[in-house]
Amino acid sequence: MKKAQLGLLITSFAIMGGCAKLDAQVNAGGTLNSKGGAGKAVFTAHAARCDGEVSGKVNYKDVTALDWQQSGGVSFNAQVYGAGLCSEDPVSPDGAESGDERLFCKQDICTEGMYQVEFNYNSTNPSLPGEGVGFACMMDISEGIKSGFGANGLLNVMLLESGPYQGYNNAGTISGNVQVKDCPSSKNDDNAE
Amino acid sequence: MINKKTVLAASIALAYSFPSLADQSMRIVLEANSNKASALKSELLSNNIKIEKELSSLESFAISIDKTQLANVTGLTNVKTFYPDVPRKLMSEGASQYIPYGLEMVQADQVQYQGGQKVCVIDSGYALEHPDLPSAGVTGSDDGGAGVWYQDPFGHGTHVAGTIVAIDNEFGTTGIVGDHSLDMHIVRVFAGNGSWAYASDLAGAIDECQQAGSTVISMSLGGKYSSPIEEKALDKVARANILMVAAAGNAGEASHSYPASYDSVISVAAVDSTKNHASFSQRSSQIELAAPGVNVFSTVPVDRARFSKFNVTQDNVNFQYYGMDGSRFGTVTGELVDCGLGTQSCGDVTGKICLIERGEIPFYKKVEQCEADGGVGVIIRNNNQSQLIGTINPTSMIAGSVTRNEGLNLMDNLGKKTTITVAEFSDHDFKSGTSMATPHVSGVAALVWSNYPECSANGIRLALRASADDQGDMGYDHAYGWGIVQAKEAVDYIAENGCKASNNVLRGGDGSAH
Repeated sequence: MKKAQLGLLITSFAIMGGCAKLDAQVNAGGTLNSKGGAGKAVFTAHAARCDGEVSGKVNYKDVTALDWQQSGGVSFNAQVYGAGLCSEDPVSPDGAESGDERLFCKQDICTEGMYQVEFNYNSTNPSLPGEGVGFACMMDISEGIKSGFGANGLLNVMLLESGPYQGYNNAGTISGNVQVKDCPSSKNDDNAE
Repeated sequence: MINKKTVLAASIALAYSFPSLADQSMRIVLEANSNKASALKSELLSNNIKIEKELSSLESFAISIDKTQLANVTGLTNVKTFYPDVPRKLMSEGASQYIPYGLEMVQADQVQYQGGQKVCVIDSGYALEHPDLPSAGVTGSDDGGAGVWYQDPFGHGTHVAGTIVAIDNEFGTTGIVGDHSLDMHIVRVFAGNGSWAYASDLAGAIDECQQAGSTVISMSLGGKYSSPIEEKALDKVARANILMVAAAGNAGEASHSYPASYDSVISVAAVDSTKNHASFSQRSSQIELAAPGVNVFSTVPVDRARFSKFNVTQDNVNFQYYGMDGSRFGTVTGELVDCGLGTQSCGDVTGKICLIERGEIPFYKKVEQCEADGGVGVIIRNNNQSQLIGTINPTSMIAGSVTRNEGLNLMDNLGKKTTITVAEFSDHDFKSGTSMATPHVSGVAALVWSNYPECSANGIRLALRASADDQGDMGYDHAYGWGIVQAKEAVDYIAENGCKASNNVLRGGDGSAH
C-alpha cells in the first residue's frame, strides 16, 4: 500500500472509531539524549499490528539517566503486546468504556500520526532485576512537514509504568531512524477502500 | 479685596517656604470673578505672567510665577480664588519601587555597568510603551510572522526584559542594569498566545541577534527535542564570541531541554527567594548556573496585573508576594513577633508586626486579632506550596502573605526590625519559571563583561561558573549546576585570575557533559 492509501485508511478509521490504533508496522533504532544525564540512551523498536495481530520487541538502555545511574542505569528487553498507528480523532468515551484499551492510543499523549507500542519488559541490569510494563510513542518525521527538525524520528515519550524502573520516562530526537510502514497484508489493502 | 490679597500673598509665600520649591517657579490656579476671565487674562498678560493653561469653562488660569513676580500676582484685581496647582502623576500604580530579591541575590546591586554590551532577548515581544522600561537603546527585528517586536500581547517577554533593564526610578521595579545604559535587541518568535515556536524560528532569531551586534543572547524558552539545525546555528554563534543563555525547563524532573542543553548554551536552573531549588526546575547534566526564578517581580504589559503586592524587608531579607485584598496601602515598620495561628490573643504587640501561620480560621480573623492586640501589620505565612492570595475585611492594617519557605525563614528572624509594604502594581507582577531565572544570568553576564570587555564569551562563561554561589551538593550538581550566579564575585574572580579561555565551544554543565 502506498502512503496515499495509508492516508485514506487513516481517514476512514478516524470517522468510524476515533483514536483507534491502525494497522501499520514500525522499525526504529538509534540514540537519543539520556534522561537528564550526560550520555546517550539507545533505543530500538520493531513492532507490527497487521490484521489485528500484534508482534514485536523493544530494547532500551540509558546507563547515565539521572536518579538511576548510581544503580547502573535503566536497561531492558521487552516483548510488545500492543501496537498501532494512532489515528486522527480523540478517543471517544463510548469506545474507551466498551472496548479493549489495547485498541486505543493513550489519549493526549500518543496523538495523531504517532506510533504507539505497549510492552512487558525484563530488566537486564543485575542491580535492578524484575519485570514491568511500559509504553512508547514515536513519530516518523523523515518525510513530513516537520523535516525542519533535521532528524528522522522523535521519541515523543516512553514511560515505564511498573517494575524496577517504575516512573522512568524519556523523550527526544532520535539520531537514527523511525520508519512507519504499511503492513504487507493484502487484507489491509482491501480495508483501505 | 485687601484680605484676599493678603491671603494670596501669604499662600504663595507659604508655598515658597517649602524647601523643594524655594528656588523653583511654581504653578498656581487662579479662578476669576464671575464673567471676568477676560479681564484677568489681560491683567496676567500685562504683568508678564506666564499662562500655562486656560480653562475657559471654569473661568480659570494655571500660571507659573517665580519670586520676582510675587508682587505682580498679589496686585491682581479680578481673582475670585486661588490654590496651588499641585502635581499629579499616573496613578495606575502606587508610588513604590520594590527591589526584587533576585537583584541582591545575584549581586547586581554591587557592580556598575560600564557599557558596550547588547543583550538580545528572544521571546514574545517587548511592551515598548511601558513606563518602567527603557525605549531608547532598544531595537528589534522586523515582524517575522509572530508579530511586531515592540508589542507583547502574551507578556512573557516584557517580564523577562524587565528583569534585565527595568528602570531604577521611584516606582515599579528595577532591573539588573536600571539606568537606561544597556542596549537591548528584541526578537519576537512567539505570537499572541505564546504557545509555540519552531526550532527553525529560533535558528533565524539567533542569526538576527548576531546581525544586530548582540553580545549576549537570552532565551527563556525550550523544548524536549533537540534539533541538528538549531545546534549548528548555536555552535556557529558561540564561535563568533557571543554568549548564549537559556532556560533549563519547567518539567520538574530530570530531563534535558533545548536549546539549554546544547553545549554552546548556559543552562539555567531556578531557585526561590530562600535559595532553595525550585520544584519545577529541571535537573540535568547540562545545568550550569542557577538564578532566582520563583515569584520574580518584574514588568508586564500595562494594566495587565491584578492584586496588590507585598514586600517584607529585614536585614538580609527581601521577600515579595501578594498583599491581602482589603489591606491598607502603605508601609509600616515594627518588631516581628510570632503569633502562631492567630486563633487567640498574642498578648500586647503594640507597634509590632504579627507573623501568623495560615490555617484553622479565616485570614480576616487573624488580622483582626493582631489589630486588637495592638499590632500594626500582619504577615500571613503559607503552610503549603500553593499560591496564597487572601482576602480580609477592609482594614487600616498592612497585611500580606509570604510563601512557606519565606515564612520559615522569618521564623528564624523573630524580634528583628521588619518593614512591610502593600502597594498597587497594575503594570508589574510575579512570574515563576526557569524563564525568569534566565534573564538574571543574561543580565549578570552583560554586567560582568562590561567591566572586562577584553574577555571572550567563553572567558566570561568560565568566570561565572567559577564564582557562583555553591548550593546543594558541594561543588557541581545537577540541580544548581555550579551554583547561583554572582556578579561581584565574578568581577573579583576575573580581577584575580584573568579570563583566558579557548575559542572552541565549551562543554556544558560541569564541563564534561555531551
